[in-house]
Amino acid sequence: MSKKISSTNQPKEEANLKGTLIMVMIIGIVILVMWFGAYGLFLSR
Amino acid sequence: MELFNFSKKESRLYMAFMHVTFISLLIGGLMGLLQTLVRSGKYTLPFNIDYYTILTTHGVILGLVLTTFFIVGFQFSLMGKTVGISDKQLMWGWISFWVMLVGTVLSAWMILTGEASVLYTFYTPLRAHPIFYIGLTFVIVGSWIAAFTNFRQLYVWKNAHKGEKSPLLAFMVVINMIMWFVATLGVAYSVIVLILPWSLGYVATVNVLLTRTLFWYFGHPLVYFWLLPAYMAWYAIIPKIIGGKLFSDPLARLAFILLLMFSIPVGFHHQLTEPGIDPTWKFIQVVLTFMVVIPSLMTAFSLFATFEITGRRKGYTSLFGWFKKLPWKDVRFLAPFVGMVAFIPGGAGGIINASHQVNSLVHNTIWITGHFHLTVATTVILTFFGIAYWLIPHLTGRRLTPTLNKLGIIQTFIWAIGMTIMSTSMHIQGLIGGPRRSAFSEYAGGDQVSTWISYQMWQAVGGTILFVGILLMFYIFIQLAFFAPRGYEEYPIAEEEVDAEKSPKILENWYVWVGITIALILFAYTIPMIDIIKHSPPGSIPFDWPIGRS
Repeated sequence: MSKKISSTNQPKEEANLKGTLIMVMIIGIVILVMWFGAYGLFLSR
Repeated sequence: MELFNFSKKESRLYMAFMHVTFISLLIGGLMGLLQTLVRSGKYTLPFNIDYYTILTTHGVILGLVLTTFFIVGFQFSLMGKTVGISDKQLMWGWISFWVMLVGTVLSAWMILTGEASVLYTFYTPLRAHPIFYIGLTFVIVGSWIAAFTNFRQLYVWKNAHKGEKSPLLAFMVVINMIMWFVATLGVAYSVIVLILPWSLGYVATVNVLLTRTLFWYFGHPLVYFWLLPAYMAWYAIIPKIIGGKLFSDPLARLAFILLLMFSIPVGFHHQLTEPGIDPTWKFIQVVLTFMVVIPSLMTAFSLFATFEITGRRKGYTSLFGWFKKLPWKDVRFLAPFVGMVAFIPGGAGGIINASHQVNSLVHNTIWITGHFHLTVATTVILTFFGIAYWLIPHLTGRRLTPTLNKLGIIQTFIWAIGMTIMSTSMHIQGLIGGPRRSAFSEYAGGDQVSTWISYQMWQAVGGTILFVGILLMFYIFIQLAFFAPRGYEEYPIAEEEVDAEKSPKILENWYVWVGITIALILFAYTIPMIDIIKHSPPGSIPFDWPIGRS
């Protein structure tokens, strides 16, 4: 027996946020690179 | 969403704040230019003007006066637009303006006559003239009047709209003003109870560590007081300008609540090299500081998501194609966007500053100056300029013409170029040991010092370019205020998606969030404060001569 799916129960279409994910990752990488750069300088002195 | 139209009376109040803002920009900017020229070693100030007088003027006029006047005026306009303002509240708005202005004039008078060259941090035991401190007190009290007027505005609206959630921007303004009020209590206590009687000669000594600690209890949330109005524009105004919708109302509210909770109990990260504070409590406050990373990254995510969703709706399907669809030729978007970009290295630098060990690499170096010229003098100020391009003509019944828009775009580029040169050279010079807060000196010809000079030349180049940007911005302001063609400029406020999720009611439970904020402050400060009061060395007598007062 086939199930009827009411249209109101349809899950909302998720927005495509792949670009956002990559951009936020890039920010995270910038933070890490700068921090470890400064930390390396700290260790070397 | 119901929006209120401004009456002429209202617009006049908001414009009064804007006039002080842009006059401050001109004066403070000129002082900044002079500083960079002096530090190049090729220029000496005329008429025996002291370097530290112009340094104090620059810091106080731009860091305290320009920002506070713009923020209070902008926030009044946000409240007037979203929840309305009564005649009585308008009167209180004017009282706050005049009290702040009288305070500014008093402090400026003392600074310009060389009686208060104590920099904007006014660290004891340097002693300024008592009128300087009285002036600062007036500025703070004036801003409190504005804060309580804003609270009242939302309260009245809530009573008339039982069960409805408050407008997002009004909620954000109230968060910022709660934070400001709680933070300024510390500096008000320091100025009124500790410094003023000492400055007047009624008490012989002052507890230096206590005044510095109370300053930084206020000084870090001050940074967020600057930043949150920029976030307001990023979250709730930029989406409208780019033709999109609010990404998430609850996410924005949660980010602001987290910023309220974690921006105050963190002042020790400015005092990491300070003797007399238990390292355990420094560590605890460093951990609390790092919590601010969460709402900051939430904001970055929310902004990119707004851009991507808006671009994709306009038909771009490739990974970054949506980026092209952003309105790059609209200065109302471009200026804040450049500000957002500057916040990436600015924020990353902030994490370095707040890390206990790495802080010793940059503490008291001109890296710090480079850092806050990225954050407040680029991220915040370019967003404020971005707001001014539509707010000023909206208030004066004029239009941002295509020519003024183009000039604004040129201004944004000038600012970006000037600041990249100046701030980068400050960062590098700081890493090789160049001190902040100092006039030009060859320090008796030390080898290390010779490596700093070329960076100071670059700072003068950057400073000069920035001053050209300030002149252009002032010209645009005058045009928008007095000469642009009559017309209507939109006050852009983004709307929610039609099918947006409901905001949880707990987000508007002020007792919970203010309660947690106070609990965190008590946790982070009670024991170290008792320590500082009980175990400090003997207090210090005032010092007048180092700042040229006899």
